[in-house]
Amino acid sequence: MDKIKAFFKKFFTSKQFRYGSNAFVMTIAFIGILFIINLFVSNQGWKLDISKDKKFTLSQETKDYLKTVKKEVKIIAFYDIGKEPQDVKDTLNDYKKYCSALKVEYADPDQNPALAKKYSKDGAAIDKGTMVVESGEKFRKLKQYDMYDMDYQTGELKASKVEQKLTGAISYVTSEKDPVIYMLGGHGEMGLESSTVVKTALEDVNYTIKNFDLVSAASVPADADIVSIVAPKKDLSADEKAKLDQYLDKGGRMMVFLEPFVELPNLSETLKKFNIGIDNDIAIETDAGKVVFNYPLNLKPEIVSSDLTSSIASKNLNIVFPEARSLKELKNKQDGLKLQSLAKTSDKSWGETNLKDQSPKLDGNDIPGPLDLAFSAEKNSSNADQKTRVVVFGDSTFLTDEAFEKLGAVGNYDLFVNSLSWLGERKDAVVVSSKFLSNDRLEISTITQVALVLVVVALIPILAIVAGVVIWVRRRHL
Amino acid sequence: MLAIFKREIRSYFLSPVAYVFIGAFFILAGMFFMTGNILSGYPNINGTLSTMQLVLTFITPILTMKLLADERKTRTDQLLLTSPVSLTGIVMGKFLAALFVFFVTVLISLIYVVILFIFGSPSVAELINNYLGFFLVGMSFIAISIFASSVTDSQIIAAIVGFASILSLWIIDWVGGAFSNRIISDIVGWLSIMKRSEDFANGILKPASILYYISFSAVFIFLTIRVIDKRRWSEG
Repeated sequence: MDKIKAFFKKFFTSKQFRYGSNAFVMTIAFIGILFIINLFVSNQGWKLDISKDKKFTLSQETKDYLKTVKKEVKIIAFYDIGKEPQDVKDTLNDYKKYCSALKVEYADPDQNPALAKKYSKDGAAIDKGTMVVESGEKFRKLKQYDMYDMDYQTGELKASKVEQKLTGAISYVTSEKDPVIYMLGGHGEMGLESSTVVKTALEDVNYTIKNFDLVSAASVPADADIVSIVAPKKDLSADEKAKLDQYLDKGGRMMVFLEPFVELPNLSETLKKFNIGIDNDIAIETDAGKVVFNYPLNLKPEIVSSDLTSSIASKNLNIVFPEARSLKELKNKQDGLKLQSLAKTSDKSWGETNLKDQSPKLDGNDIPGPLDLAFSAEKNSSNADQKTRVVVFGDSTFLTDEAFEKLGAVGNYDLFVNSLSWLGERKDAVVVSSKFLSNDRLEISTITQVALVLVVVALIPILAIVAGVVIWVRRRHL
Repeated sequence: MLAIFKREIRSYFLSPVAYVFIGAFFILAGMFFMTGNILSGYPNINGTLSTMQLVLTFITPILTMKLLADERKTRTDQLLLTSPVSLTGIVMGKFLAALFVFFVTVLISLIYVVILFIFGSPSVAELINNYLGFFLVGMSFIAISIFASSVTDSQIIAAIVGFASILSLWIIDWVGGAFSNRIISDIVGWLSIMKRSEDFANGILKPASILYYISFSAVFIFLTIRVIDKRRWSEG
């Protein structure tokens, strides 16, 4: 017993123990203090987005909108545990920062199949990378590939729509009633659903699309917030026109997209009441800066700033009207009519009326530029609470996926969504533009590439190695 | 400290060590730069630098293996310890010397940046951020492999331990990801050297990450000092 006592006494008073325990305490204290400082700084969440495209910063539109959200919203991000990308986490944290009613959860669909199942209609597994935005009974599922624009040929990321989709989804799940847009059919119209751009745009601002025709229906459906006529191939009948006029007189809202050279006397008659005239032509632009891909029909008009376009005009977005007909302002006297041109071509453009012209130029019956390509109009109606509003575009291809993808007409989305918001008088509709990621490339010719490869793969390492060998050899003979 | 720093710098550049390090770095960096930038036309350096972090795993121990292990082998550590330089000064001098060689390497690699600027227009702020992250990761690797050099008197073992230590930083990341437990994955993610470097590559500057890399290095410098200090009183 004494032996043991003596051993411990010796151990605790030994140099090893004294130094050892000192060192141990010091080490723990050192690491502990550093740990606490780090934890403190981490919790501040300071970060600076210095990326070229500011792709990690929320837009002012989203920030302002989030502050108005009072209804409880939950975002569930489905990822493998620990595999949540940092940028997604940061973005969701930013959303939380601006919206106290927002909760963010992360879930692993493999671990929590019941939760995942709740949000998939067909019982299929939820893909990783999916986010669900939920409030009360309503939810919207955002798939990963919906949130990014990819160039599928090169696999390059072109734009991030994460914010656009998230903000749209929050506004959808918190809204009480979803407005309805009715698509007129029966005249060979283009189905808007065929365009993904339009479909997602409508979804982003929470419109429900319904189809109708005015032949069988006695009138425009009562729940129509907006009536849309897209690229009719033939004119409305007198009966249909009467029903449409009746709807508009009561403060209806209408959006029209036209194609060149289609004669539409009855529809023209309706638009005449808004002093909007339709020219029977196709717009040709010769100012190289006002077209895309040097093609005179791919118009890149100047956007005129107005209530509807103010947020677009300042953003300098690429808005392209491929194959447009021109519109014109009529000079008839109309009480309380506010007519506004939205897009104009340059002085160097004209409306070609003769399709057979082999070398088109401004001649004959052609209409000299600048041409108006779109109008918005507001007019008093028989309904004191609601004015009549119409938006007319002299182009319909501008909504197609081709325009969006091949011509890079990404601003068309914004113009379309802004038109919807203006027509629906919805101040709550948040328009968040896609974030375009710059895709600059190095411009190197093949010969230069070879030279550069030789420099970086051979020359630099060889120089380093030669320097080493020279020093080594010289030192060896010292 | 300055004397130690100068002595080590001389030793680096008068022996093949620095040239082997720089040469090895640029053989691999050149290939990554070739495929990742020159041939693909990608205008930013972040991809190449991220790949080079993996390369640093293998070559950083070359730089540090000799620093403390060799002193012990040749018994010059006794001389050093009895010199007027403090123990902290010795370790810091050696650490800074290794860091300087790494810094020179990074400077030479700015040739790549010049190439990017001639043929494209990268963002200066992003480039600085990418390089800052890369340098901080390199610094952390140097600190951990200096520690490896202090625990043995064999350079080879020091290099292997250093390599294994850095590799374990990567492995912890993978293992942490394999755990299906949010708390574990959060802790591992917070401690992870590699995960924090993604922010630098993406163009986000987080002061917390800069502080973390400096703290991480400080901890291993501190541990190195403790190891040598312990030897001083336990062997004496």
